[in-house]
Amino acid sequence: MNSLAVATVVAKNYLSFARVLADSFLARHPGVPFYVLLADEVEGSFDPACEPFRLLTLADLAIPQPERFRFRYSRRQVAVASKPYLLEHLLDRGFASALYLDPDMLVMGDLSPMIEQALRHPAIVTPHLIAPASGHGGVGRELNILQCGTFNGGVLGFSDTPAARRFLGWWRERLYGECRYEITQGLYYDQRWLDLLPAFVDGAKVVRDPGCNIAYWNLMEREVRIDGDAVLVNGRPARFFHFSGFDPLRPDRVTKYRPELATADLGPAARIYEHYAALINGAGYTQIVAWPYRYGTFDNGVPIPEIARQFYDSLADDAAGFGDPFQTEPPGSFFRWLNEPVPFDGTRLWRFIHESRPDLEAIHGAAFLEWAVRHGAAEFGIPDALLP
Amino acid sequence: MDFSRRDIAGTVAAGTIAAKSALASARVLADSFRQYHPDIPFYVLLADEVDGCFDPARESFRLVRLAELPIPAFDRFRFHYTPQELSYAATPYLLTWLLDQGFDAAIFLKQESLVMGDMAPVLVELERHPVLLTPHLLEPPETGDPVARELNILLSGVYNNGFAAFVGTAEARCFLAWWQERLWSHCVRDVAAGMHFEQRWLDFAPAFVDNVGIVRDSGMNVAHWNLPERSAANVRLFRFSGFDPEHPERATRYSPRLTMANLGPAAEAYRWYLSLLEAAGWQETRSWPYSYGCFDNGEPIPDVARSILREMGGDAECFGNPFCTSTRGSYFGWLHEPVAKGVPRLWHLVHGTRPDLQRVFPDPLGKHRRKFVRWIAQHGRREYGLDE
Repeated sequence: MNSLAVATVVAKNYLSFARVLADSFLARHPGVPFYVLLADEVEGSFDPACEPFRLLTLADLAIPQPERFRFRYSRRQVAVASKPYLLEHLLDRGFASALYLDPDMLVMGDLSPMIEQALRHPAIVTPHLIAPASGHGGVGRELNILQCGTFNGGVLGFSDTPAARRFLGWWRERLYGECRYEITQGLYYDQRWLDLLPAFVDGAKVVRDPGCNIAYWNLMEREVRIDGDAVLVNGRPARFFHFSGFDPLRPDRVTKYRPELATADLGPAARIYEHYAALINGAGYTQIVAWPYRYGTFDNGVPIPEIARQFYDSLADDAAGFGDPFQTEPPGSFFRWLNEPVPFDGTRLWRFIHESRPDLEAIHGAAFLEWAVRHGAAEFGIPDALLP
Repeated sequence: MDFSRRDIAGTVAAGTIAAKSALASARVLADSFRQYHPDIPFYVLLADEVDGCFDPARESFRLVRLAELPIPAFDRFRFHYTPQELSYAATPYLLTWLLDQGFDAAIFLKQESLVMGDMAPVLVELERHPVLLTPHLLEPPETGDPVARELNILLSGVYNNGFAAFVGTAEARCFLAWWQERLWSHCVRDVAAGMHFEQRWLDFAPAFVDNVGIVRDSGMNVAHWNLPERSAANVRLFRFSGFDPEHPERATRYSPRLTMANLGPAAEAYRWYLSLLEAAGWQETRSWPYSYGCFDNGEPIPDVARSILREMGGDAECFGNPFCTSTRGSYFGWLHEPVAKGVPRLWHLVHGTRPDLQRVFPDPLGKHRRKFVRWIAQHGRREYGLDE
């Protein structure tokens, strides 16, 4: 079993999650190397040598034009689009299999059966649902899964076989360009692409253990029972929970994606959410969550608004001429270009915003500039340095 | 259970579904199937009524009538779908019915297909898997905008329902029962919402059923979505999806990418298929009228009246048989009841589904009523196919 490595990805404001996952995993499987890819920079915020995991940074991965990759994607997109690079990196290091786990997970039981499957098959995934969604809203929940992807991107195992390598290479290429939330086009970040896994990889294994990847989207079909120290799910041992969308500062709510779900209504599973909140807070959450994202600002300290990332992304290869997009000083920098005055709309950035908003089509000149300052800046999170 | 070639007869049945206007396609498929698998009985489910157009006893297949299947609220089911939706929605009902006849396994083939080779090497997999599915793509495409082709598959379903096979195990039957329930009301094309007729629901099969067999034989489901990657040699099942014998030069109405001129060797298969359809009488059968196309007073049913009834869900029960026009409280009467002078309810409901009409006639029952009534007479009736 030593030929398998496990890894997760976080920006540093999420470090407490990675610590809790690593601790819970290593408590069960102390011999398995556990890596954390920091999709960010340490910047003295913590001492990697004192952490329970082995640290990897984006610079360790073979990402082409890394500054463009980090600029065009948001913090969340950078983290998920890094997954195939991370898995390939671990296989390149010589591990026979690499297992990715989302950071917001807690290992609660023996993962050996899943690890054995990861080693035996070229690829493993876990579905969001392993049985039809029950109850009145069942159809709606299923359609939501069809929009977001049948398999959860939080658990991925790949072995060093040609078919798995081919899939990772293709997935990496897709995520470099198409890691977006656009469900009407068939895109949901990294995840929808995984639906093609059983088609592209012979022998890909769908892990249907109800003890794996228990989360808000399947809790209705998983009966959780706590029996002394043992947690059982549908009568079988719980292996790991996935606290997707859980906010440790709002432990009364199961997930930000379903605000109506109250932890108190979960029955026995509520205790597991409480336990998790305590672990995350114990791992320094309140302090860590404020650690700044290294790729959140231009090199002059001005925060990068989301819309500027989208603008840059839309330029595709034409953006190469700017050089490093984080740099503001050079005469041909992206920052200066964004701020260059244009007729009617103030600056290039604001013209892009104007064009992205059909509802503002009829507003021009002074009226648009007034809207920009009074409403637009707040709506799009535009810092003062980028006002028209 | 033994599905090996020698003992396959009697344990397996195959079937397709067609309205009678597509009877020529069903004849061609049935004949081609019998040529390679003479021992497997072939059934055609008529999603329509015979109405004296042909003599079932003289056909080469066994005819199944829709009324023979245990479809709940049958009158609403055949009313609230278009002919295409109805034929797709009946798929799991036919498969379940075949298993109920005592066959150990049931194979579904979609109507516009041609068996061109021995499928035994695929069918033998039923010994090891309770369900067999065929992916649209077996590897990432390399030509013709690969990303767009992949996204198109993600929106329409990873597995093509041109071929699907189910063994009568409890788990497979459970999946069919769930699929029936979903397709009773959710067999429409609304890709943004996660629906593509019957097909996208199949993405759940590997999640809901253990050990689903993914058929990766490149001779299965050769069609516009995987040409030119597939070789025209070694074809077992060719799918002429979107082929219109009146416009054979277009190959398929779904993809402008392919034409007879650039199909290469596959063009030969299309020409052959066209000649088979001609011999099977498509010129005659295509004009046979759809038996569920009119109310019982002879008025044609516009598609919008079908979708309105479907979207009403359980409330639609109050109308009784929706085809029936003579009873008090009939669906027909309700649709035609004026909600304002000159505005039958049907047109008010149409208005509710059309943002363009809402913009032009914001107050269709008041200020803009006259203009809206004029639009109904001059454009609406024609647009909704009510002017014949």
